[in-house]
Amino acid sequence: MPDAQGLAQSTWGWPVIVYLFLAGVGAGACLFAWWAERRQGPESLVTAGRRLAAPLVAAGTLLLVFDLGAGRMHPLRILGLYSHPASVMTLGTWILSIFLVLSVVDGYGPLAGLRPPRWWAGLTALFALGVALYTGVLLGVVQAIPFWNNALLPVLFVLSAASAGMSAASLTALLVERGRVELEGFRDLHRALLVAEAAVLALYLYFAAHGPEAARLSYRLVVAGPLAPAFWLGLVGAGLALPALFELLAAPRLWARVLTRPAWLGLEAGLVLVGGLCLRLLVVGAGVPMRLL
Amino acid sequence: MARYGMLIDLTLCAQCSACTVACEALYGLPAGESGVHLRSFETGRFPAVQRITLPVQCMHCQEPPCVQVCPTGATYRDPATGTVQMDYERCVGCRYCMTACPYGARQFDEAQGTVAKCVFCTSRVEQGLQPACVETCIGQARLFGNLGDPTSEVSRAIAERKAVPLHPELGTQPSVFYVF
Ligand code: SF4
Ligand code: SF4
Repeated sequence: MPDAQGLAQSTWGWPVIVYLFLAGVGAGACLFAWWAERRQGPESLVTAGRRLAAPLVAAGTLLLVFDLGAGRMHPLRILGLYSHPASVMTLGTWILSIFLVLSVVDGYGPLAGLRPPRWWAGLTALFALGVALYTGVLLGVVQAIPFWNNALLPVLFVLSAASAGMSAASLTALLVERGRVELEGFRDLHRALLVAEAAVLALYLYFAAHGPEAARLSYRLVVAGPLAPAFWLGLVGAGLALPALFELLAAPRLWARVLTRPAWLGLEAGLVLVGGLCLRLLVVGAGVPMRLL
Repeated sequence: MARYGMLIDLTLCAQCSACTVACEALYGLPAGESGVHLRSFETGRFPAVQRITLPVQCMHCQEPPCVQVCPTGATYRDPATGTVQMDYERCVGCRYCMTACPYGARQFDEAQGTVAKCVFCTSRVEQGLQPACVETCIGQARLFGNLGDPTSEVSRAIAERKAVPLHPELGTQPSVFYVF
């Protein structure tokens, strides 16, 4: 993987990349927990998703705060981030803050004897969708960077967040329950998300490859430049192709028994998470600003 | 309601960087953090390739994307002068404005943790002086004035010399015009 110097876009670096990833996984875990509960999924899976949401999003947010300049030196100024609703970042600050409150109560309230009403989980999931969407919109509105300025980016981020969040919840439940979690009921969702993400990614890159000059440059950086290993090995290989292969193989009888073993399921979830991180790295890192002339 | 603006005539620009240095000297900026940068590009397609060097600074857009994205309101458009200004006391250094400026006109000030850019020397202009880069320009390639007044020297020169802004298609309505 290229270091920070290898990124074509240098204003935002690793802290933002990792933040976008953690916020996506946390939001995705929450969305998955909500869905799994409605589908009467295993208790441990639902709990894992709910409890993962707040700490992951909080860790990402903390990273973002540490990446600020003057805001780190004068913490009171951070309150100013709530003050300009025309900015997607202000919008995001509100969504993140509300989501953190909702998800702490949703995930940890019961531990403190607090039983939030039924609609609470639904509202939390709605804000989780907001968190996942806004991370894409944050970059998507930047006209100066054509690779980001694409309506498909928020869609791509939401799909990736959902599948990474699902994987994080599954991995956690597998670890907590020492492998005794029934994940079969969620294979279809997992497969659908993989296919959708791959399709949107392909379309997103197609637009970049046929877009303005700066977007074409971004595209080349991703598929053949210094970021290519993160694309081919990380996103395409680990994040999409290998999980897809596992899913294909799990269909015939012979392999199904092997591939439903906890170690394999855990490995697959881990691979999806690697892909999710690489996606943020690639999008942020390859954001070539448009030329002046 | 003035709209401060500038004309930079590249046919008169000697690419000497005097403007860059004058800006650094006036505002006590570390090297590389000047409000004006000379940027070079190759344009056109072979064989009609041309190398162009132009001084770039904040274009004081009338529809500034940096103001739109700034979450704190630290960067704002001043209606009295039509310029885009910074309130450094509010800036948190998130650098969203830097990603959003299509002209690469903003620099991160490592020491202060804030983002800086050309302010069109409004405090000098209030005293009846010219911006430092205009005053120092050896080729008199720069003209500063009120674009809101069609009879001002700068407005007339822009019309006569057919000056154009950079990336007009973005709708940012820059207040800096170039003669190529
Ligand atoms: S040139 Fe850049 S910094 Fe200046 S007003 Fe326009 S968008 Fe903002
Ligand atoms: S770095 Fe400062 S001026 Fe720029 S968007 Fe952030 S708060 Fe606003």
